[in-house]
Amino acid sequence: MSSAPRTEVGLADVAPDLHTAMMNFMAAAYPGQVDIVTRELVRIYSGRESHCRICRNFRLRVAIDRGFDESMVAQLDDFEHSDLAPHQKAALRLARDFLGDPRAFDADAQAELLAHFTPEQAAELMLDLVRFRPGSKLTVVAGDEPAEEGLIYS
Amino acid sequence: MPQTWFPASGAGVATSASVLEQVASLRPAYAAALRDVETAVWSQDQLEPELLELCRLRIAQMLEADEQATEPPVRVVLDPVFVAQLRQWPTSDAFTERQRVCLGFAEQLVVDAQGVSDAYAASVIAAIGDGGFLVLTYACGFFETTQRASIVLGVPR
Repeated sequence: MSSAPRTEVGLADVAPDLHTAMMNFMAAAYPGQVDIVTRELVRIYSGRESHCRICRNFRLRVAIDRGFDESMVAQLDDFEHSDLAPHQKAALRLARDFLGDPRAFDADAQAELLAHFTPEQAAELMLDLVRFRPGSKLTVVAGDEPAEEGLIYS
Repeated sequence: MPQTWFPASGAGVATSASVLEQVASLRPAYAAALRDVETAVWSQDQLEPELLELCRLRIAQMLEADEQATEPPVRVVLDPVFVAQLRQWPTSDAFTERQRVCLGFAEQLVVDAQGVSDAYAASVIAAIGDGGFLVLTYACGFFETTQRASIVLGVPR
């Protein structure tokens, strides 16, 4: 990894339409139909799996206001045996399989996801997972990560 | 229409829609933003579509994904020799050095983006420029996650 930019330009300079589309993709994600605390957990899980320092340390204040706290993040490594809510575990199983072994998301996992989320909500989680990692990889590879760990609030 | 276990799709979804498009259509504004990203990936002017398509196909091979499930929105015609030789790209004479650099970089991004060292990044930039480097990085991440979504949502044949 690098915390020194590896290029003299940014994506906005060389591919402005792509940069705009990427930003609009982010903007279209919120507000959503899934509770923001669950979406934060999935986003942070994806950031950790993608080894992106910004993504795993970024925190949305609106999620904190609605019950998100750091004790939840501490349970992500072993969420199956955690105190997280059943619907949060179902969303994290989707994230785990999506990012690790997508074929492992079997009929039981599918049924469980749909037991906790409406199709619209499940679609939203799927789109979130499509969205997170490309930006994470760009941040990591372009050398745009901060030098130190530390929470970033927005 | 491609088969998915997902129980619903949005109104007016085309019969040719991929499984990801079918599911994404339940969140129309979010789905439209996804389509705009895909369009922008394929229409930027830093890398030619043929090079992106080689990388997309190679990532599909790595993930054992159905490459037809995430076909680009533009028509990209590749020499069949490339496609046939794609698994052997490191040793095949069919590929240019520039193509090899991009295919190797695409593989590295899927396996471990953190493993891209300063020296490796510099070698990729030397081959495709700053712009190509940034676009290819984002594009490969996009190819990876859309293909992962297609696997998660699809029904094994």
